[in-house]
Amino acid sequence: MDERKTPNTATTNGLTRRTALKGLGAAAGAAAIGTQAAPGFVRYAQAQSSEPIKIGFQAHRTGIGAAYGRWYERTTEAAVRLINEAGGINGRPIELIVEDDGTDPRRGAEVVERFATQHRVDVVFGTLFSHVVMGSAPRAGELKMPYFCVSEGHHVASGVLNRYIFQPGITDVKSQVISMAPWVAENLGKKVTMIFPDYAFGHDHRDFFSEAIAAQGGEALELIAIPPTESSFTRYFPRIPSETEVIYHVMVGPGVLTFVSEMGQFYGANRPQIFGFIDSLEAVDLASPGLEFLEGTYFWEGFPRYAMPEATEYDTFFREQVGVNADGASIDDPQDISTYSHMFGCWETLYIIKQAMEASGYSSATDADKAGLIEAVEAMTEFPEGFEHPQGRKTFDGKTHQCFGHQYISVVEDSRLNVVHKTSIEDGLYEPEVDYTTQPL
Amino acid sequence: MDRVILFKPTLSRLVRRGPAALSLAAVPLALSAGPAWAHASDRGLIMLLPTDRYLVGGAIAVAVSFGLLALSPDRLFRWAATARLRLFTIDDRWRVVTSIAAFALFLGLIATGLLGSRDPLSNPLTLTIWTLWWVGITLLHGLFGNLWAWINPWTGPYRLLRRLAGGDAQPPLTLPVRLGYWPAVLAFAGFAWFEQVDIAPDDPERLAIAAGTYWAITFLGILLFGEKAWLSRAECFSVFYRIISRVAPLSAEPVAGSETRRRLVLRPPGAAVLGAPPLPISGLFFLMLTLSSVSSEDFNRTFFWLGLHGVNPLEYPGRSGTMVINSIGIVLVWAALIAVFAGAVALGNRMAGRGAGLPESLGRLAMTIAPISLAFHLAHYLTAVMVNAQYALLAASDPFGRGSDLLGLSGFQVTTSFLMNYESVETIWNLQAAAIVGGHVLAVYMAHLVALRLHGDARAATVSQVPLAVVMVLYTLFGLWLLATPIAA
Repeated sequence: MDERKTPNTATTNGLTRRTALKGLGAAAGAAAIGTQAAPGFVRYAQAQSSEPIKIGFQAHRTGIGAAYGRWYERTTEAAVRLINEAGGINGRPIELIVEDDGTDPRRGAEVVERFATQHRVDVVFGTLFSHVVMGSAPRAGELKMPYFCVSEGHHVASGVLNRYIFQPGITDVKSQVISMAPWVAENLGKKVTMIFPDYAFGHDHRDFFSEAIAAQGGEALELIAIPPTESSFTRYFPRIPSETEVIYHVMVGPGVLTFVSEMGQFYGANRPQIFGFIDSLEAVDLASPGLEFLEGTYFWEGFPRYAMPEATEYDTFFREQVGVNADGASIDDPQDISTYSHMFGCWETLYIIKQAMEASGYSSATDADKAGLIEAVEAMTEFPEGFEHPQGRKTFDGKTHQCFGHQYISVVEDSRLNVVHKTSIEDGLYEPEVDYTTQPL
Repeated sequence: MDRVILFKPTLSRLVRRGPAALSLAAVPLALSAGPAWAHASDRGLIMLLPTDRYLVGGAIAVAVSFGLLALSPDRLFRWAATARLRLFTIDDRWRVVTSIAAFALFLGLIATGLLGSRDPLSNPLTLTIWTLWWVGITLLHGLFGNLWAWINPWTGPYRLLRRLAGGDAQPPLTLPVRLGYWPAVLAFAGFAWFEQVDIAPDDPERLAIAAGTYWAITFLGILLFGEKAWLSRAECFSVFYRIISRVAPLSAEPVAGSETRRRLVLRPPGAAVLGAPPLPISGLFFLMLTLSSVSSEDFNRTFFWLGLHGVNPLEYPGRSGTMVINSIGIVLVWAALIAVFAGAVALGNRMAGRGAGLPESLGRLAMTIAPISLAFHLAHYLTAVMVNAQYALLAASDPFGRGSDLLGLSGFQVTTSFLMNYESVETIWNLQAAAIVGGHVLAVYMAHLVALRLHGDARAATVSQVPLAVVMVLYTLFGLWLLATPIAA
């Protein structure tokens, strides 16, 4: 039976752990939703106990990240269910242990400690907000706890963290931003005005993109930094030079709708090209009032919210399993828009943990096995597109602990996002800034 | 064209902006750059609503209601003060049974807090305490009267213990009268601090320890000082619920000739405030804290307040990074509210030529804050309840986190789309605004009832109420502003 082409059979045919444990048959079962079975699987599966692999899910259940945390949770639960149905990791089921970090850096460190000393988890996974990753990572390093974040921050690859911290499931913001420059310069214009919130997130975009557009022979004409507490933006628009060909905006927070609405009032029908990051409007219905002005403007997407005609079977499968419809919204509630550009990172990261544990023959939460796991992740170089990596093929740099992948550019048409361009992985590569493998384990 | 785009906010723009020239550049950003993803929440949609019109309209409604009350004939208020529809009687002794049942439930919840899911949105303890009880049961007091007297987890166990011990022995100690409500003030301040400032009040284990400790301290207090003294002046929730339940149309009155039977009566809302003794100064501080703490929870997250302290709301550092300013916010709003309220009552008394009776005026009028307290409670917690009630339903279906599905909800997914959808956000906003305005109108009415009783004639009563009415109008504005202004969420 060709299970790869009918992915549903992998789950509905009842691939229980028992059947999955039957040696080679198990490897085939694991491959049912993957594109490769790690060789380690067969070697170690039968030697393992049935004790679960404990994955500590550091979740933003409360605090400022709760709205995003909800979709991270749904994606994570879907992936864990699938992995368990296909036989688990090394024949052991995953037990997900949720701890709430309140989207708070200090609490994040406490949660990591709790995972290590009380729950005795094998790995910690799933942190989204960058400042919580920053707060948690040092403690994870001290406790020698492998820590897989899904935050898209540049913090991992920038070298400020430590050898135990990985971001293998989602590209970082630096890669995303620089990969946009070639297409923007060629198709929208080379004279760019950037509007961004005046703090680290906005500064990242400012620095990465202005350098990248210059490399394309373009120029950032004006850099308009908006104070984060601002709630009205009209007075900033006159600063946009009239020769501007492209406005690059990355506003976030509750003021976004007002920002777009006021920009619409400022320009009317006669506007330059406009390019933004969907981070501004992740989980927001593009048909919301105030967003009419976005019609015909462009956005970066990590994974296209609206299923395109050319969507892969992996995308379809991913939507089905997480419970997302072709418009990127919940099947149960079509008005509940997912964080589609980011949440795939949880899914892909879990499959990487699985693959690395199987490759390293991970068997218990000892320092030695964890060191082996770290080295196994560092040895990875590529994740092929497939059911395990529905967003697309990725490369992985074991020295910087960061993956690189394709990005999408979409245009708003009839309040939908339609993909107009898919970047190459090479568009998003940059010089490594760190080699974590030189740090001791 | 869309009216939202045509509308250019003016007042709301002013009230929203806060310190415009704020520079966050000076704040040392120890964290490396990375997306913060402060999301376009329901506030984003509310910012598109003509909230400044609501602010003005709400303030006018409260002011007009004051004018209408002043013009209303006295006999209307005399009727309101005495009208009652007698319903059936109930036996007070059942309180032992209901309280013991509540205590058993409480014990079970503490156990799930200590031993159950570590996820606050799956753990029955967290969901019951913060959502079902502190929001849901509290609001029910505004309709059904003092339910807490029936379902607190101390009355039953204490009376049972007393009976088993064979007696009617007097408590060994007396709670000094001069302590007034200060023990309750202290307890409620601790509660508010835990809810708003503590790093993880939702953590099931932490909450179990906090709730268990409070239960034990209260039980010890009852053993030492007696049930009546401790529950009426030291146990902050008994005090709180007793006062706010005077807003409710339903109340229980003693039945002549019976020590155990009480009669349920239906009265015009707020009339029960007349039968209550005036609060001492500590009671005023207590009641103002219950109101201000709900306001400060919102206030502490406004861009305005965070901006004042150089905290970037788009990269909100979490509770650990805002402990000091959150604590200051609680105290500041509390102090401001007391000062403004007491000032208005004193001024009103002076205008009505009754300068000497200030303590009584304060003590009686303070209770008219109760409906505002309830209104803020509803407006503040409404959206959180709409989300967390869904989690509570899931937790009820699987109370021990073992994958059971007692309620047949399999596949049910929690949704928050109503916070991201223009129409539903508008509906929710209207409900919240109506609650704030309605609460203030009821408060103005109750204050008028009390003032008539204090001053005797209608003219003096009306004159005395002018400053307080101004405060009510301003607090309406403040309450609506809190709901409209951008917050870190």
